[in-house]
Amino acid sequence: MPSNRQSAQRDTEFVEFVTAQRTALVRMARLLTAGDEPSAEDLVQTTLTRLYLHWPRVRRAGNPVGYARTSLTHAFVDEQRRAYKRREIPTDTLTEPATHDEDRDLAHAVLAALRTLAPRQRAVVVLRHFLDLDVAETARILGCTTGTVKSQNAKALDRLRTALEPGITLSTDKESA
Amino acid sequence: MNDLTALLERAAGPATAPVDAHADLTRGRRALSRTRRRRRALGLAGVATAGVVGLGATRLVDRGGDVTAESPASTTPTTETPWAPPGPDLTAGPYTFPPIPQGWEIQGHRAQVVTIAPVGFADQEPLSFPGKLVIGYDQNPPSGQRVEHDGRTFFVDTSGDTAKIAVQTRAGEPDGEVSIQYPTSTGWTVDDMVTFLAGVQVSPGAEPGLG
Repeated sequence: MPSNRQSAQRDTEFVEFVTAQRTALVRMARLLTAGDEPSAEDLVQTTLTRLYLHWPRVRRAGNPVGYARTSLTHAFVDEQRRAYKRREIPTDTLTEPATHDEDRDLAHAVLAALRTLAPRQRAVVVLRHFLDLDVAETARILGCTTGTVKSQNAKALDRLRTALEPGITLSTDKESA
Repeated sequence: MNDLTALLERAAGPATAPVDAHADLTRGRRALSRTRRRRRALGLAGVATAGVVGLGATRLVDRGGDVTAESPASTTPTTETPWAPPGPDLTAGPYTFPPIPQGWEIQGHRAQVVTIAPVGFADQEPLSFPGKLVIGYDQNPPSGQRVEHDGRTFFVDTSGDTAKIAVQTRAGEPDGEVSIQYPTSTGWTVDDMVTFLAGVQVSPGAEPGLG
């Protein structure tokens, strides 16, 4: 059994991490869920609980932010799978997403465009364009090949353009990767 | 022109927000306590079930199974459903698969899934999956424990009430993952289910699930 000192160390380090990183994880989850606030919060809570459970391993790995991002992405994918398990007939009626940006229309348009993407495509967009991860790291997190990341990225950008234009013209320096 | 990264930055919401780390700490502590209690309970259960291993092993030997791969639930005869005997493959929509368990039937199929349930199962809705064996096809990255079988890597997750096993489709089949999910209460072994999934073929008419 772990000693009280070890437990206290785990708690202290975990609280420091959450204080520093929770908001960033919520933002990432908000994009993954395309603005579904309750789902985003659930994902973050799931991620942080897993992180606490595995904190000794997380500490040894020395990259808690990377661990949390990977765990959050996996939680998102897993949740999509569970949604598939209990999926009934899909509906186009979705909860109005919450945004906190001054330009709410623009934010809503982007979140609505993200909703048109398949979960894996959305994850690629978030990892590549929001977190600025390279193709190899994105592939590692998603457990797929770099070629799949590139093709999913290209398809996602096409879909985003279709959803956003002509009102919003999209540009990126990661067009083919 | 709008840079995608800048758009995502806006859509992600404010970069600063109040954080209650202690709520997360409380959830983490509770989860850790549950995990430790479960481990202790499993340790005790392991001692209790040792006495019935002989019975289970006899059945497994008859089927050529692997004792080490059997899930704990399969040692409970009251919840076990016999697996299917050898026989011709079945086809439902774009999916062809080995015989299904005795006493189970195909409830329905779509381009994304085949739903299989016990005969007379109360829930007759093919798109409702709890308590059923479901064959699905999607394009999500697989996750779970890796199991090698017949030159392919299967991803096994038996952590919850519903087990899930996924494997990449074969060359020539639609690109993605084919998977099965089933209630762990059936007691079906991972070996049996991996073998079953290995026999599932996906035709071009299959469409990836939305998940």
